[in-house]
Amino acid sequence: MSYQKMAVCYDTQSCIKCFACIVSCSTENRMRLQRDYNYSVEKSMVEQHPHLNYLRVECNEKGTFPNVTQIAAFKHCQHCENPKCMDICPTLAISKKDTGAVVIDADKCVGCQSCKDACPYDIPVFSQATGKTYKCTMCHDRLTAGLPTACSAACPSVAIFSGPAEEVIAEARKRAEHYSKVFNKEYFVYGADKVNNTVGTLSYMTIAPLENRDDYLLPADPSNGVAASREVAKVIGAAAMIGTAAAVAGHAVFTAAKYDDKHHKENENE
Amino acid sequence: MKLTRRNFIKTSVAGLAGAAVATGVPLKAEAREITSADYGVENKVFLTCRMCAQNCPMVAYIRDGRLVRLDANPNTPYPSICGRGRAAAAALYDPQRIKTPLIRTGKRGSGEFRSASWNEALDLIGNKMLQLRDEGEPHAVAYFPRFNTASLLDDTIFNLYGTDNVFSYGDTCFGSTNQLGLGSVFGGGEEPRQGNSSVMGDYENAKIAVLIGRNPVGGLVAFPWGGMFGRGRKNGMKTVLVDPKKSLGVGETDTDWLPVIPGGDIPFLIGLAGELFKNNYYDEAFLREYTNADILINTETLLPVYLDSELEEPDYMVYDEVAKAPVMKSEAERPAIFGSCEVDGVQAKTALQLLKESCEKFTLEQASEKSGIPAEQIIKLAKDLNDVKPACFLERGYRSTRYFNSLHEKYLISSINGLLGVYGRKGGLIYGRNAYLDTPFSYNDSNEISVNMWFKDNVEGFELCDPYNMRRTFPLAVEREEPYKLRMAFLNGQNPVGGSVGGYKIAQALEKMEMVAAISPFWNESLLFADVILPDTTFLERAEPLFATYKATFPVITVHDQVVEPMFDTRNGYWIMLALAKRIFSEDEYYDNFNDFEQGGIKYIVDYQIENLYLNDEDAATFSRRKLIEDGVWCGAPAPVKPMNKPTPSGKLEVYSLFMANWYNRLMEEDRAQEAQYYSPLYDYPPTYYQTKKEKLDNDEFIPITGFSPLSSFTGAQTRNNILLKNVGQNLNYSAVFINTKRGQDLGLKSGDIIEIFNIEEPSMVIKSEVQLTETVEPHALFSFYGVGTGLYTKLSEKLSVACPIGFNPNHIGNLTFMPVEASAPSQDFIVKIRRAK
Repeated sequence: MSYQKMAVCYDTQSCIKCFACIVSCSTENRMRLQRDYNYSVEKSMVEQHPHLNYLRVECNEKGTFPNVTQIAAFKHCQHCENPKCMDICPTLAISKKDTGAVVIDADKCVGCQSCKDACPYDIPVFSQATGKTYKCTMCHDRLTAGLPTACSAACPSVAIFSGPAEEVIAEARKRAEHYSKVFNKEYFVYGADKVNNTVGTLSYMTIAPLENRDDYLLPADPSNGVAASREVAKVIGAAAMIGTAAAVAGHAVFTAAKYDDKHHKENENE
Repeated sequence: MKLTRRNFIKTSVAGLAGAAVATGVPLKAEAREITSADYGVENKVFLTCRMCAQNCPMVAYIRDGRLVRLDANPNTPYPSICGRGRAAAAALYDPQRIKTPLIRTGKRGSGEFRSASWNEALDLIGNKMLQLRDEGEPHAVAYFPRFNTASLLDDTIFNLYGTDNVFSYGDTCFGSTNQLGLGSVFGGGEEPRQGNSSVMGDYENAKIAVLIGRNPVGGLVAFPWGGMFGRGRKNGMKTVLVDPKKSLGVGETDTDWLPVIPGGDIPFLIGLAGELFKNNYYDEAFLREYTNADILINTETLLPVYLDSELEEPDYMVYDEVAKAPVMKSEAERPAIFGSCEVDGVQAKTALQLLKESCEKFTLEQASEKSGIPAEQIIKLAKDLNDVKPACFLERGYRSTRYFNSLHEKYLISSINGLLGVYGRKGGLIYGRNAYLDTPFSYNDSNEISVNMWFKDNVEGFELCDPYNMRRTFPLAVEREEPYKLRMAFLNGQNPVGGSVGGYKIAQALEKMEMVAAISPFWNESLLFADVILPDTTFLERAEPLFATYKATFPVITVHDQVVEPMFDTRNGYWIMLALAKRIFSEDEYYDNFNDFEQGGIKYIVDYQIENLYLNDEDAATFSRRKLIEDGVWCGAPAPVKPMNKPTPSGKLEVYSLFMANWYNRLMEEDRAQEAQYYSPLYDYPPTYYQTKKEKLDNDEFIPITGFSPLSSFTGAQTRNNILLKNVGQNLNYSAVFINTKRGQDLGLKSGDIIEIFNIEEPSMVIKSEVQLTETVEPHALFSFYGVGTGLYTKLSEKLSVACPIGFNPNHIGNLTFMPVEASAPSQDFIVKIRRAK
């Protein structure tokens, strides 16, 4: 089965920070618990489940009164063209779909958190309660059913939109161009073009003023030690590669056992 | 299934390439197969969101009697539900809701209650009401409605029972200040009141929106404001924020923040108007055509030299530039908008001349110093507005009663919008339209005069109050036992202790009641003082009549159907009200007034509303009951975008308010100069209350300003005890108080410290809160998000474990002061001191 390439875009300019997207994401995930795991809605909606907020907000402040910039940046999986998390996952739980979505298969995830180490954007969240790692799936189930993502469906101010990649990119570029003209400074679409060799293009894009890219957590050269070492590993050769994979797999087994144990204990307490 | 381009567009992102990218598009399943993503979509229910008070049109999806998903009703031009609405499931299934009727066991305020049966609880309330009625004092019952679940029915029950003492909450939000502020320029009778939807910013077409006294995003009205505002930003609208706190949602980049000193909005406005006059940035053609800029005013009394308001088109004296003499406007060829002359020995000037001169009394440097806003920013804004006018506007505020001078500020805003000629113009301020819904219930008008009406008629300083939107007279009436003794309070969803400034005085008054009865789905601080509590349903567990009071430019009617069965042992408000009515009315009274409703249910009200719906031809052509039911909402035609003459004394848009001039004159004649200054028709700067208390704040003193967060709403636990919202809110540290970094450091504080806060006039009441130092707050201000902190009544955190256990609520410890003459609630006009907590 093949699907068309899709994309999501967040426009920082028309966002009114009402956080409807974040709550919608969270409730959609709780609904999935209800749908897929027969988990009662009465429980899922009032329990914490912080790992189910695939979209999070991170505030930062720069400058001094009154010349201050205050930005609540959105943090979410960017759905990289070259997902480092997928490369590193020892249990092959992470896959890149035709739609562009990078998805963790919860059944295969053993909670080793390698993906957390590898992600250049610091996105995956590990849940102590379930012993697994979570991140945005780009609403793979919804996109393939022809529905907008939960975040874009919730947006009252046309700031998040999803759809076929080429249309989303066209609209995003049009907006960026318009803002650049109106506000007389450069706006760009982060992820529409290749960001760097590590991540490639992104399926979850962001429109922002170029001068604020760091405030919006949109690094020009996203990388981290682990991802970089993987790059190096690839270059050095197969022997080193096998060594790395073995080490990671060992780590996975260890952590999986540990968290299983922990999970057991939590259950006993209930 | 192969997801083809064609069916994806059909089902999802219709019109993506067009001007309006559709997000949250209607779910139309016919074009594709049903998949697991459609879980629950087969059963949808239309309703309106009540997580705040705005009733945004919503749709719920259910499966097996349980809520699956909530969304914006897609059948409006701006489908919008904010985060609060989407978090409603956490309120519905909140295990800390009030689950059964409760009867108090400890002393009032202790929070100790026992469960009771519905019969026991209702009998207790019913018997007390019967006793008061038998004693000839039904008016001794004070009724406090809010998110009531029995709209229309509750009013009539209390009225027929014999009390008109309805203490409503609008004295902070939309009560007198906002209504009279616009009414003073727009007109509307002897006490000209204009509601929040009389005019609205045309965000989608505006080039510049100046947000002053209101942040339309923080205090989010998702439908349609949020949608309009976001589209405006997408179209390239620039926002200028005049606020002591820089907020997130108005635009993080490409937004100018003018950090005004709390209560210093007026000097900023005078400075701005001065620039408009000095540089001829006003819209002369508009002023001549639509305003009373040309009316000749007696410079002594500030009243018109001659005005005949009785004519169909009022006539007044102007100075004719052609005849070079004062003549009536109807006879003038070209009335002057500037200039002075003498009429029968009276010195006269045109209204605009007077306004201009009143600005000149204030230098730009003074305006800058008193407002805290640099002169060059005022100069720049005036120029920018001139460049884009009329596609710009000054927002006139919401929850607008903040300082003693707020009414004057709102008047200036409304008048300056007239100078810029933005009323009824594309991109400026456009007129709203509403549909009106009737009620099938009857009322009697022979009750004892209400406390509020009595205050209005008899107490100096209350003459211009809005007796239908006022609750802070309650503690006064209790204290003075005037006009009579109030003996019982009935709180229906309202939280007066948490929601209005001087809350502690309201709590004290509640303690003096013979009985305090309450209906609420959630705990709040007022309930701690109740004797009997009846557990209400949430909005998802009940049906409601049609609703049409929207802040929109077009009429909107919505349906509200029940989504799920009531949780726990809760009952909906209609059931509760009828059960009460059976106890307090004779069988005949009950039969005559309520039998039809009991038999017919909500449908009985809806039938009546539709039968008695009056629509103009244009709207009637698009309205049908079937469509309303199918879509859950009907939206009519917007008001035409064109300037209109207004029902003012002069028949014009009064940039020079004759309502203000009349009251100024009257108050001066009554030797009430203190109050008169707040009614000056000129651009003057009457002081705030706190400025009259202290000229300069000490280094540990602040003005406690508040702002809304789109994650909290008023003072209700539907948002306060909501885990879905708290998950986001704690990332914003939304329960902390925010002060300027430098000021905090000077006091030796750092972010995360716990501080104590108290009103300098009431130092014994101390509230604890976490403090956060930030560069985003003006140095005089101490900012907190409204309705998040527990405040003075920390007992409440025993009932609400998700809610923040501490945090500031300025209402609890604020003064019971009243706005001069219009008597609404100056919500943040006092001084607090802070110190590190022990």
